Amino acid sequence: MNRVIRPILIVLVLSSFPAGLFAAEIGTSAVTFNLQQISEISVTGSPTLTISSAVAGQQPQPVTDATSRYAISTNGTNTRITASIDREMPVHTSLEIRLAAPGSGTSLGYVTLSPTPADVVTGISHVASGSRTVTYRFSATTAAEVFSASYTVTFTLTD
Amino acid sequence: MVMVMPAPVQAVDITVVGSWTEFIDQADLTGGAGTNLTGTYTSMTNVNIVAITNTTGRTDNWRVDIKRVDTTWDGSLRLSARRTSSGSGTGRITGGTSYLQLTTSDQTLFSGRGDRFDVSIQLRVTGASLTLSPNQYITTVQYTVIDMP
Repeated sequence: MNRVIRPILIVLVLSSFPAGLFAAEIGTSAVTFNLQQISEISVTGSPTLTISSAVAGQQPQPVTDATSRYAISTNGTNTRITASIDREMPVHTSLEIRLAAPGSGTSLGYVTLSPTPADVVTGISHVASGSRTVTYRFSATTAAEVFSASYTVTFTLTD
Repeated sequence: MVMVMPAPVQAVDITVVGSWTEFIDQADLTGGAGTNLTGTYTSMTNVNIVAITNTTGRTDNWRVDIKRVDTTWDGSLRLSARRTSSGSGTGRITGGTSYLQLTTSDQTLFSGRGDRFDVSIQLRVTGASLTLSPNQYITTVQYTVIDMP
């Protein structure tokens, strides 16, 4: 007599919540902190630079003024400061500017001012710095005409 | 096949309403150019309204845990939460009235028993500065209610 053995599968599923495991429900709330680009610069000081004499046989010595200051706040990366004046200087004269780096970035030293914005500090990133020195240097040759004028210097903090 | 199913378990429910968006720009500098951000930003006192419901009654104990689930959050931003009202309802509520700095792990903010409605939550961010690049920093505050024996 042949016996056929048939497997019987019994699946016993027991579920329970053991002690120490409790039901939990979840609620959520979104928080968005929207930080905008911040690029602020301010400048103080209205210096007067005068060339009134020269040593006989030599060109007049340039005059400098370092009483002006600037302050900067930016959360940008690799930003730069440019400077320009509202019109051209008279021929045979030159007005230059030098800004101390604000703890970040590189000062380009003395830069000649013109109506075209020129970089004066580059590579500025994530900085808040106040009271940094602005130095002006005014030069003229003996070929320059006598003149007196006011110029407006514009500083721009840009990407 | 023999299946033994457990009796259904009544779960305490939590409902959270509200979200918080904070815009930061140059007006948030402490003193204009040359200064940094104010650094601390606080939401309205009821930016989140929490309700605990479906308890078995005023003797049903529960606790609410809280954590951050970050999307584009920055670790230098410290997000905190506190309970600013007890709400209403037949149950009781305790704890959570001082700011709790959130992490990405659950911490208990407050606890109570029975149903509670209109529990106000205030959020606060500290640590913001110009070292952070312009961006939308996004996280989710996750509240978990846990039914206690």
